[in-house]
Amino acid sequence: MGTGNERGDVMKFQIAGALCTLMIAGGSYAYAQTANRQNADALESELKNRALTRAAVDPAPVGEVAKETVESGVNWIEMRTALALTARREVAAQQTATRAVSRPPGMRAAPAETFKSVVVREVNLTRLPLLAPEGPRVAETLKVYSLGDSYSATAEVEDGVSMRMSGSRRKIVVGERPAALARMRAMRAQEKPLASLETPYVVTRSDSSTDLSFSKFGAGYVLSLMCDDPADARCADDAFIVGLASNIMLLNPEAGGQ
Amino acid sequence: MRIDRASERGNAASWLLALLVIALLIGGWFWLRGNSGSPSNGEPPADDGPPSDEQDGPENGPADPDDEPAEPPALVDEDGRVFSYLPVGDLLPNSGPGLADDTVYRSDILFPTEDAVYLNSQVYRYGGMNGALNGMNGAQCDARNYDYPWQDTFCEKRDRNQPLCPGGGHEGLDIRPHTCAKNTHWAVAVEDARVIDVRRHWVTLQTEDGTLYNYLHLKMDALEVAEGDLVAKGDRIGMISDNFFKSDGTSVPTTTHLHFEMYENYVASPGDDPLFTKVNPYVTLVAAYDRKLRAE
Repeated sequence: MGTGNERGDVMKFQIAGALCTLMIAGGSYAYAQTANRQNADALESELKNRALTRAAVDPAPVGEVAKETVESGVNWIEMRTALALTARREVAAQQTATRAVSRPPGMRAAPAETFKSVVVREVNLTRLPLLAPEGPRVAETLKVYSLGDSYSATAEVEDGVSMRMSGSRRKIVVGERPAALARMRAMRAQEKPLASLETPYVVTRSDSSTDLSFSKFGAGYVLSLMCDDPADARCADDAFIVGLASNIMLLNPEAGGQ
Repeated sequence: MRIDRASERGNAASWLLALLVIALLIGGWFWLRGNSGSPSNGEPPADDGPPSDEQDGPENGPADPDDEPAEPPALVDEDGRVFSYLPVGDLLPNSGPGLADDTVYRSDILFPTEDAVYLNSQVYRYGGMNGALNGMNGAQCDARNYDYPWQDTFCEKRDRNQPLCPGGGHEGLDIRPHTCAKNTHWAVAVEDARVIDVRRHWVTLQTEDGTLYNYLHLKMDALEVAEGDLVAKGDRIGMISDNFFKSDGTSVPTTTHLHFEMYENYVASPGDDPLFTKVNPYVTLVAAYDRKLRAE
């Protein structure tokens, strides 16, 4: 009987211990939840206090409006010179090499008619050098949409990677404001030379794309790569996108007159 | 004696047990009472009817005529809520450096949605994978995600280092639709443009002067546009959803929102060589929303 009582007492202490543990765990969880909620509430309140509103009547202007959009004069002579330069490099490579060598990088003419998915009319409408990267899959899937002073070319590059190359001969003048200048200086400071086109480039990355931007022939261009996984080396490292930008096709070599 | 000691121990244990149960009940009651005030219930906020003044933020409080002159009335949205926003580059704590660019790149665009919306973080707020960093534990439909003030998310930290966002990497803005209901609220063309890419989970528009607009996470199998289309300012593009696909069609989870990006070909002075990159559209969108609320 005494042994039974003792066993019962031990069980009661065990239950009490378990309840104590539960209470401590529950209390800690409740405390953490309350603390989190209080932190979040305090932050929300602070955000509301810092927020700006707009007057319903006679509002002040918002931000600094970009000054104007200007048209760039396209340097068609430079475009033809770049084509000729690549041709000379290729001839030189063939003459000096005694064994098979890789093609030198550069810009090559690739008339629109040679691509099955490209609508020639779109290319003919384009009033700036229409550039797109080379590549077997690109050639198979390339599409061009032109708006005259701007265009975009899109394609699959390889499994899991697609690309968009856009160009424009119009540019927005944001003005000499310190914030804008500081941002542009920071971008320019990251520029490296793109040897094949003899122009500097800058690479930026985000969740949605890896972008290589450069200006050439008076126009601005951006080559964007979209990878299934942004951590894919083809998007995470510069080598792949720089390689694409180094071998560029010119789809409208006859543009710009003689 | 032995029986007495055992009996005493038994009584003590019984009392301890009873006290703990009572404490547990009282503690539980207080805890539940404390939680009942939380709006984080995972339900979408009410879609109709303006919220109370208290929810509207500081600007709506009744002014004491003895203290200060009355503030001019503030601009309100279609629900009667006061539109408020944090300055450009002012991101949530622990969420990245931001980019304080107060340029209105396009002064005449339409806002990219039909309804009132809320710009804020999808990652560092309720329902986001890093919400706990600021104590914002909860679900994406938490009503506090569907309220002003707007907050910039350009250059929010996403582990992608690059020149525009040192230590950051989110080069767009995240826009929550009017309510948490997906496939309900429309994204519209901000300008006359051409649809130049429809792929995976994005639609890209380009304007005549080169500006690119990326609309991500729309309901891709029910778009109102197709590649090559010319769209007019205000045309519907698609419904805001949570579509996020790899190229093989595999779905990646995300919240219901419109991720909006803008590329410009820009210079400081007319003679400069241009930079064609993504830019922070925050102030451009604040200006566009201001015009939208004024029905301009």
